[in-house]
Parts: sequence; C-alpha cells; structure tokens
Amino acid sequence: MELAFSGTSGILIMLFYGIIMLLIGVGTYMRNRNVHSSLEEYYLGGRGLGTMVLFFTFFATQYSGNTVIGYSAEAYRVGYANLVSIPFFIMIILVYLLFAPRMYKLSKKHNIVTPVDWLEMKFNSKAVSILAAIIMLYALGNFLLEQLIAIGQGVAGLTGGTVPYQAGVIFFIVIMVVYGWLGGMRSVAYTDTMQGIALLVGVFMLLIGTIVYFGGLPAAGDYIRTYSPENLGVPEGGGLVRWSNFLILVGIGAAVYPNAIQRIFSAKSERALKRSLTQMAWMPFVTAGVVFVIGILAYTAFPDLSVEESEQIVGMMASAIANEHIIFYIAMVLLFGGIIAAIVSTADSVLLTFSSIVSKDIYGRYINREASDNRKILVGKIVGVIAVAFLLMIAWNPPGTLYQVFVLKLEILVQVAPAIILGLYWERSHAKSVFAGMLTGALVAAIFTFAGLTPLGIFSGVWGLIINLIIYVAGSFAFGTAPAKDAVAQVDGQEATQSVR
Amino acid sequence: MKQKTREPIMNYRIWIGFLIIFILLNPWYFPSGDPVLVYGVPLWALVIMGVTVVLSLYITYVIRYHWDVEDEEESGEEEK
Repeated sequence: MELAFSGTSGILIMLFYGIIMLLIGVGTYMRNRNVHSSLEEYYLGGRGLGTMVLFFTFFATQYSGNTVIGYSAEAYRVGYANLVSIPFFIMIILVYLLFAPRMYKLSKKHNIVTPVDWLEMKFNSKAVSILAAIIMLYALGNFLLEQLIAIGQGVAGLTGGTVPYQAGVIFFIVIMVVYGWLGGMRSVAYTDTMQGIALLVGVFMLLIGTIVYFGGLPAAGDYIRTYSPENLGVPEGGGLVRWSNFLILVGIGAAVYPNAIQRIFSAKSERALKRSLTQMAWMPFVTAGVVFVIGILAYTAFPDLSVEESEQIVGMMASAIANEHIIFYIAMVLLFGGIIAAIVSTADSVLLTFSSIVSKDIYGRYINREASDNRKILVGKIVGVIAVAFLLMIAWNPPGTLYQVFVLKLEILVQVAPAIILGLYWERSHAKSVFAGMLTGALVAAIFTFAGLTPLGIFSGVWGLIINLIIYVAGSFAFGTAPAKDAVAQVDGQEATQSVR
Repeated sequence: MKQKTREPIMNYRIWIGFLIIFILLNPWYFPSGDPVLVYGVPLWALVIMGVTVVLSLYITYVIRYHWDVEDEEESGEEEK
C-alpha cells in the first residue's frame, strides 16, 4: 500500500518535530542556567513542577508511542480481552495512593532525589541499596532499549521505510540526549508537555477519521463476529487469571518505576501533585481507551491480517485516512509526530532517571563521596550516553514483538516495590530480610520468565513478588525490632501514624 | 493543625472500597458463550467499563478528601 508519509514529507515531518524538541531544550537551558549546580536542580527541576507540567510529564512517562502502536495491535489480535489496558493504567494511580503522599513529604523533608536514596535512608544497608539500584538500572535499561526499538520501528513504519530504522533512531536519540543534557528534568518535562499534546490530538483525530471512513463500533462488532467471534467473548479460565495478573503486575510495577517516583519528588507542592494524579486517573479513558477502540475498529478496515501485519495496524490506518482528506492528512502528521515524540518523551525520562541513579546512588555514594554535584551530574550524563550507545547496538537487531519485552522488565522491577512501599510504614522491616526477599523474588521472576514458566497461570513477576513478600514479612517478624535504625525515619513514621486517628 | 493530617493508607475503610471495586474489575461474574452485543460492544465489556469509571471516581474522591499531609508552613507557599 502507498503510505501517505513516504518520501520527502516523512523526512520533513521528522525534522520539524526534532527541531521543536531541540528549541524547547535550548530555551529551557537559557532560562535556567544554574541547572547543573545541584542534583535537585538537574534531576528534579528544582522541585518546582506545577500542576500542568507535572501532569504532562507523568502522562508522557506512562504513555509511550508503544501504547498507541503496540496496544492497538494487541486489541486487534485478542479483541475485547485487551480492554484490561484501560483499568490497569488506573491501577497505577491506585498504587500511588499507597505511598505517594508520604513519599512526597519525606522527599521534601530529607532532600531525597532517587528512590534508592529513600531505601538507603530507611534501611541503611549497602546490600539493599546496591541491589535495588542494580534492579532499577536493569529495568530502566530494558525499558530504554524498548523505546529505542520503538523509535526506529515507528519512524520506518510510518514513513513506509523512506527513513531507515537506524537513521530514525540515531536522529531522535541525538536530539534527546542534547536537550536532556542541557536542561535536565525541566527540558524533559517541557518537551513532555508538547509531546503529550501532539499525541492526544493525533490519536483523537485518528479515531474520528476511522469512524468517518470505516464505520463505528456496531460495524466492527459485526465484522469481529464474522471473522473471529472468540475476540468478543468474556475472558475465562486462563484469560481471567491473565486479566487480574495484568491489573496487579502493571499497577504495582509501573507505579514503582524509578522515573515515575522521581516525578513525585519533582512536584512543586502537594496540591500540584494531587491535582495531576487526579487528572491521571482519568487519562486512561482518552488514551488507552481510544487506542483500544482504534484496534477494534481496524477490523472493519483490515479484517484479516496476520500477526506480523497487525503490528503495523496504526500506520496502515493513519495512511488510509490521510489519503482521504486534507484535514486528516494534517491530523495524521500530528499523530505521526506525536507517536514518535511520545516514544522520545518516555525514553528521555528513563535516561534521566538512569543517570540520576548512577550519579547519586553509585558514583556519589560508593565511588567518590566528596565529588561536587556538578561532577556527579557529569558522570551520570556520560554513563547515560555510554548506556544508550550500548543499547543502540542491541537495538539494531530487535528481539520479538514489543509487548513481550514490556512484560519482562516489569517482572524484575516490581521486586523493589515491597522495600519501597512496605518500608514506608512498617517499622519492624528488617534490612537483611528485605534484601533476601528482593534478591529471591528477582531471581524467581527472571528464571520463570526465561524458562517460560507460569504455574497456575500466574505471571512470573507475581510469583517473585509473592515469594519476596513472604521472605520480607517472615524475616522481619523473626529478626526485626520495632524501633527503627534510622531515628529520622522513625519520627516521620510515628508523626504520620499518630496524627491520622 | 497536625490532627487534620489525612493519609489514604491509614484509613482502612478506603481500602475495603478499593477491594470491592478490584473484585468487580475482573470479569468473573459473566456467563460464558456468545455475548450480548450492545451497539456492537459486548455487554460484559460495557459493565467492566462502568466499574472502571467507578474506580476513577473513587480515586478522585480519595485524593480530594482523604489526602492532606503537607505541613502548615509548607502549604502557605502553595500555588494558586
């Protein structure tokens, strides 16, 4: 099929978006020249993000171009069973309610910059901090790799191969590194805002165009009934277990993403944080929901695609619609850029957090304690760029479909959740048990994932989490003592506990 | 004053509500077989969407009325 954005127009659109991102990065740097003076300034935007910017940076961190490309393809393939993608994004906010209020307060009071900072303060254990840092860096690296692959596939797919995979990746990575390098969290958050708006508008126009030219849900329902009626059925047995596993694994896993947690630290005030999280609780309907509907509506347009072909479903639909009317052509330009921008905006926050953990938790804590903040930031940046270069080499030969890669990193990352969340409230938490639980959970999750084991249909990450929690809780009951090691943490804990009654 | 501090996790009643919503969020209570379609959408999917809206409403309510932990002096510098 002739794609609407092949040839020169594809290249121009890409350049246009790239330049805008770069300008935002440079503009932010010009306005905040002291950004490299402290870790808080660089990695948390000076803890000054207001409601709107905070909302969009949460938004862009959580929703990637993947959400649009991968999830609509998945909805096309499995049908209504993929409806779970809407509530699982809301579950993330529910999990925030477990820890964000206290985490925000503590971070402000004790100048916490990374989630590992918090673990260090709470458990005062080298083993826990280093293991958590390794797990987070691994998951972030995997996540970043996924975004790099998605950038390449997105650019190549949407331009019908005019812009080769490698060129697309290199172009956007360079831009991302430059604006991230210049302005840190502020650049990332401001570009997130522009990227989020482009994605939202584009996805909505794709939905409208699909309905206008291919018909709405009733028509799609008839098609699905004819071609694959099983896609209409309610999930049962294994499908039901899979459904609830997704709610738990994504809810907890995505909430403890280190880059998501850092956004809690970056909030200007509790009020800004509350408002942006409230807005986030409603976003899944207009993002994952719209994307899901697009995948379902695609049946009417392309009723009989193979798995391989279905991966390109968004590009094919966007192209078909863009060829119909000039308004939709413009809208699809926006969508095209929006999808790429959304991938870049997820990648940039991952990279920034990756660097912050290297700066503060590895270099600053164990290698050179005396280093200035400026030097720590520099080390974080350089290691970040080296990591990107390494991941790029892997990205040249991308593995499997995007969706499988996504599940793999959550399985591991979710193992830091007990330490981060339970550690906030349970004074008895015993550092060695926390470490043993986290390590065993991560190993179980990794081994089960690689061996393809899902006993009882439960995901490997959830098994790891269950074993992790058992070791954590049993060990803390056996060896833990009620008074905390860290006096400051204890004061905070008691204060909050007593005052709520 | 400190007594006004409210933290969602410290109020167990909130979590009973979330547990009920979570249980209803899993589509175990629908009959199997050919689903009823309402404007092309399976009925079970519409019900799940309804529960999902309730989840978002409940989260909005909890954030609005059960989360207030910032100190007095800090809240003074809040944005408009």
